[in-house]
Amino acid sequence: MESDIDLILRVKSGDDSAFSEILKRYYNKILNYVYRYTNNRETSEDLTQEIFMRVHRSVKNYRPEAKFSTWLYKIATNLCLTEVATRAKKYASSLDEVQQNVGSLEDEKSVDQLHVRYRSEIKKMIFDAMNTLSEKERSAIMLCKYEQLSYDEVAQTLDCTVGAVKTYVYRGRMKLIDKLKPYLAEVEIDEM
Amino acid sequence: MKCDDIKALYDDFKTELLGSEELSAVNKHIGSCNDCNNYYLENNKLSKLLDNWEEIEPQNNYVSKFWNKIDETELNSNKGVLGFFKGIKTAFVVPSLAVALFCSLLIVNMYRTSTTSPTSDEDARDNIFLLEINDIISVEGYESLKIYGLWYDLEEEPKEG
Repeated sequence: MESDIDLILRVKSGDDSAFSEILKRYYNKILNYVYRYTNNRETSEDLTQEIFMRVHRSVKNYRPEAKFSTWLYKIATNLCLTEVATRAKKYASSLDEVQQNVGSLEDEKSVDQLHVRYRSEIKKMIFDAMNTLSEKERSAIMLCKYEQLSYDEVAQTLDCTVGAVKTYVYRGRMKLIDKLKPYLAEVEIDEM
Repeated sequence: MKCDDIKALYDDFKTELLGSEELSAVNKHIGSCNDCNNYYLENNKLSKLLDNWEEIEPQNNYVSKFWNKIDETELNSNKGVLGFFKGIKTAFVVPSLAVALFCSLLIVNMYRTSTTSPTSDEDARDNIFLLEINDIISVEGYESLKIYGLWYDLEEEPKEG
């Protein structure tokens, strides 16, 4: 498989098909990363398109000193943190989104309604708990937990030290445990 | 190791990055320390709970939608006066400017020549001399200029022989 750097070099030389390849490779990841900030599909789609448009515009400024994915997450994080608060107000609230999702799932598949409602409720609770974290704590946890970035990559993305990332993750995790305590009691774990 | 050290190793423990010595030290510690055992247990539960946040799938046409947006943006940026100037190819700019500059200089020069009066005494004298010649020619008239052979009448053409 062609490396990200090779694709970017092709994009720099004017090859649009290479950028389409970048889209196919990262669109889903960024969409879900954004979705965890907004909890709204429509907003997430718009923001993800905007992120890739920014990447396309500024790709000539990309220097392959950092991994492309780190650079991409940096752009995504900045855009999410600065625009989500204002843009989210224009769209339906997150609760509406949860209810829409429940409705569509119930219509399309004959799954246990209680189970679906429970999962939607959990999702809403996680989203609300995440909203109580500071920007850095939230981003650090999302990048580590969901995007599987290393501490070093998260530090580059958030422009801070690895030590600071560890602190953000630790504090954020403690806050989440505190907020989600009632739900944690119901979680079963096999073995440590 | 102290409790803080053990807690700091949670992520490496979770992602199985610990060496065999560290791993056995952690296991030994959480086996005997309720606080650290609780910390590891709650973090494991949190991690499992966070897995419930399911992913969404992108729309099928996200690639074409992206390129449509790019086209739309470029189209909008090429509208208006600024867009017109942006649209001009660089290769045409320099020759066009050179031609425009040349024409401007030519027009300015022609305007200056037509409006300026003689600037030196010599020019003034030449002007007076030319006016005098003009007057003399008017006075001598047609007849006096015949000697030059150019102003003869058609009826009095010189006969051959």
